[in-house]
Amino acid sequence: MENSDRDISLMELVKKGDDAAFEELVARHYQTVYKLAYRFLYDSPEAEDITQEVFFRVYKAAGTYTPKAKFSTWLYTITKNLCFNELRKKKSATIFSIEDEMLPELPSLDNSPVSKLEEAEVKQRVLDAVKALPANLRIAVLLLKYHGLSYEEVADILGCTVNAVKLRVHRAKNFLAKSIGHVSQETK
Amino acid sequence: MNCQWVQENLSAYMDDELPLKQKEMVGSHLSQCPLCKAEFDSLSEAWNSLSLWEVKHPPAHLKESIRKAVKREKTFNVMRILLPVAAVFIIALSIVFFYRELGDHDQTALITDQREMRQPGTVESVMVDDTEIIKNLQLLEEKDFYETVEVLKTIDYLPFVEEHMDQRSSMGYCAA
Repeated sequence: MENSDRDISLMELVKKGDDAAFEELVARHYQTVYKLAYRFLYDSPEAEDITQEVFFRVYKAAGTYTPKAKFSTWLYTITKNLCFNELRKKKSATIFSIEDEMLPELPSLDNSPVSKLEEAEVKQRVLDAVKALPANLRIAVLLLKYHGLSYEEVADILGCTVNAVKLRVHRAKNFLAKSIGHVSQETK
Repeated sequence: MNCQWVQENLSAYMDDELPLKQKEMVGSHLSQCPLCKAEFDSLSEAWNSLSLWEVKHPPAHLKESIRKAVKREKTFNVMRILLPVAAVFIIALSIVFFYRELGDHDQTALITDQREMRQPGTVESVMVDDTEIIKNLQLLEEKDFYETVEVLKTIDYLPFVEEHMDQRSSMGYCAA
C-alpha cells in the first residue's frame, strides 16, 4: 500500500473514532511537520506548538475529512498556514505582507583572504540566507529542498500556479547563489 | 535558443521540472555555453549547500504532548454535549418540582378554606321536608310526656281542688 493510500485509510479510521489510527498518523508525520515549522520559524518551542496545533486541527477536522488530495499535501498546507500566522503575529507592529516577495539587499561579506571557511560558518551563511528570503519564497524553497516535493505539489500547498512556483524558486536560488555561492567557491 | 531563456529555466532544469524536450535543449546549450554553465554551477552549489542545514529530531515529549492535547479535546467534546443536557434536565426537574409544590399549596389552601366554612355557629341553609318537621315534633312531644311521667313517679301525694256549690274551691291531698 502506498504511503498516501495508507494515510487516507488511517484518516477514514480516525473519522470513525479510532484513536490508534490517529496515533499512527502522528507517528508517521510529526517529525516532518516539526522540521518544516522549525526551518521556517527558527524557533524550537514555536515549532513544537505549531506541530501540536497541526495535529490538533487534523483531529478536529477528521469528521469532515474527504480525500480530495494527498494527505501530506493537506498536512503541509495546515503547517504553512500556521507558520504564516505566527510570522504575522511577530511582525504585526510593522506593515507586513506574507505576499511580499521583495528580496533584501545582500549583506556585505568579509572579503579578506581566508584559506578555508569552517563548515559552521558556511552553515550559518546558509541559515542566514534562507532566513532572509521573503516568506513565500522561503516556504517554497523549504518544501522543495527539504521535503522533496514537486512544483505541482508546492503549487497546491501555496495556492498558486506551477509557473508562479517556478518563478519564486528561480528568484530564491539566484539570491541564495549570490549569498552562499562565493562561500562555496572559497571552501573548495 | 538564447541564454536568457536558458538561465530563466535553469532552476526548473535542476529540479527536473522541465518537459523532456526542453530539458534536452537546456542540457545541450549548457554543454556549449560557458556563461550559462557557470550560472548553472553557481546555482547548483548554492542549492546543494542547503543540505548542510540539518535539523535535529523533534523533542521526545512532542508526540505525548500531541496525544494529551487531543485527549483534552475529546473530553471537552463530551462535556460540550453532557453539560447542556444536564442543564436542560435540571431546569425541567426544577419546573416540575415548582409546579408540584404550587399544586400542593393550592390544594392545602382549598382544604383550609373548606374547613373554615364548616366552623360551629355557622348556619347552613338546608332544605327541610314537612314530613321531617312533623316527625321531629312528635318525637319532642313523646319526649316531654315520658319526662313528665318520670317526674310524677317521684311524687307521693297529689294535690286536688274541690269545687263547691257556692263556687268556693278548696284544696286537699290524696295518696298518689
